[in-house]
Amino acid sequence: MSSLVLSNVSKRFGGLLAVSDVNMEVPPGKITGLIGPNGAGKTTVVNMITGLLKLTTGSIRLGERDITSAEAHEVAFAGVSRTFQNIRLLPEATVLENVVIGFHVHVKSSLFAQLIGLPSSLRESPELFERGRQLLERFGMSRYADHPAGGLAYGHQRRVEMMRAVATNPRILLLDEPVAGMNDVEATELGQVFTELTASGIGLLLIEHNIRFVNQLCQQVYVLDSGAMIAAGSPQEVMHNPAVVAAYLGGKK
Amino acid sequence: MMNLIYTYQPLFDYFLLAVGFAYSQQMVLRAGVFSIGSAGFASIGAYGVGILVRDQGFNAIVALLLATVMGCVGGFLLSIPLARLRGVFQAIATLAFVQIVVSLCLYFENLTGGPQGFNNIPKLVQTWHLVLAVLVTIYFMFVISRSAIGRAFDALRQDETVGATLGISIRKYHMIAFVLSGALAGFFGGMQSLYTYSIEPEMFGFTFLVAALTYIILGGRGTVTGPIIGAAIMSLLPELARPLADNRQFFQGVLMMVMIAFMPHGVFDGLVLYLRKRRAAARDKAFKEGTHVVTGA
Repeated sequence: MSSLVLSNVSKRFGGLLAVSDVNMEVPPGKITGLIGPNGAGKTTVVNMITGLLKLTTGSIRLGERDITSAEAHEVAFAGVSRTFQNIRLLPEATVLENVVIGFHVHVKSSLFAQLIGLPSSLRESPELFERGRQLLERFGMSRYADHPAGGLAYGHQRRVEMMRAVATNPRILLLDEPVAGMNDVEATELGQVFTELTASGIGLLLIEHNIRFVNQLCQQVYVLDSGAMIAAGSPQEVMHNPAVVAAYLGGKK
Repeated sequence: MMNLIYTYQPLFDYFLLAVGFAYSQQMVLRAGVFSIGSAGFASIGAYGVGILVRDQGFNAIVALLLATVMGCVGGFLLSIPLARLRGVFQAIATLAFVQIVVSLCLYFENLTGGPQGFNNIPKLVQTWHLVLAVLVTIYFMFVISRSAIGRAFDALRQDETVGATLGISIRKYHMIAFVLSGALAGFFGGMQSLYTYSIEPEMFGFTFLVAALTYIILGGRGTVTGPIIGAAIMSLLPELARPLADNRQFFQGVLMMVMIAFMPHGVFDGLVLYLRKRRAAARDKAFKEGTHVVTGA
């Protein structure tokens, strides 16, 4: 198992330095937190890791592999998966189809076999759908299998997105505000799911606003403010850091 | 009875050709590529087959295979410069491609016959050839839509960023869509060439591409049945609406606007989505009633 390591990562949008000189490590089997006020650059960091944005400077490694300039689909094949802050499901597809598309990186039959309908391809699709059903069962979502994903309740849509990310069988999973808009009961439930995931060796990066939730789950927390890393450490250490308190509540400069 | 069949046979043949072109159009739209280049590929296939069979004495089957390959190559080459374009920009660029093909067919008179058209093509394609070709195409469309390629297309159409983060290479799958669309258009263009005796450049121009788009808007983008329904409606409409023949263009336009406003997914895809929603709702209701009984007991 290998860590995701960001070294001196910066991103400049024209004249705006959105992320500056960020160093961070997401180890396997643990939940790492990334917190910060609105506009701190958290989602920009996630977009850079997943290859949706190019880095201005710095490098990103996953274990031995350098994924600094990898394209989004290559990052996925390397073993990094994510969810989105504003849930992004395939709205016309059913819940099951949404999950099955997550298996894309595991498809074994060749393009040629798929084009002319060789048995290897014809057999593979039902197998993937069966694995999708098992995953739905694990997340307690079986009864929604044939629902159009766009019509589900908010909390369920979040779950579907998470199942889709888990379906890629990632080494590192980036969760962009997974409990936004949920009440404490739903959040705690989801927290249990996260703990189970790390037990299987996945490294989780939790991007959150909800500090209480982060404190419950994370061993290591990074705090981003205006694009710069202002604190890192255990939740207790970070919460008592004057810079963090100032960033969240305001304070004298 | 025989009379009736003879009367409607040309209509049926044109319907079959329309289904082929509709699949070519659907292939790109399904992958989220707004290409309207099928007309250009059909033209390449039609002139290619015409020249190979009439002037070079090629066997029809070999010529059709070559037309398919020409369509593939055309789609591949076109996909490279267009890789960074999306939506309406793709549409404009592929429209330009169609115009280029039309004008090339007009300029190279000694090869294509220019504006006079390309005539005296041996009629080697009969109705049953077209039926066979459409059946084989349906098989391929079915197989592809059930494969990982079909799922990748569906994902890219709905949200290409999500697709990319799940490992789907946008460039690669858009290229596959262009190549397959080109292959289908090239092949059916060749079939049309061997069916109609004569072709001319404008046959594969603006009217052609509007027709191909219409089949998909009417039928649907996501299903194998959709294009058949769309092509059937467009083939039957002029027959059913004989009294309106003078205003055909007008009524077609109105029909399109009504469809886009009220059934944006097309007749067949719209029906599938509707039934799916209803089934899910029914199952939900059954589930809720089930739990109610349990808690009540």
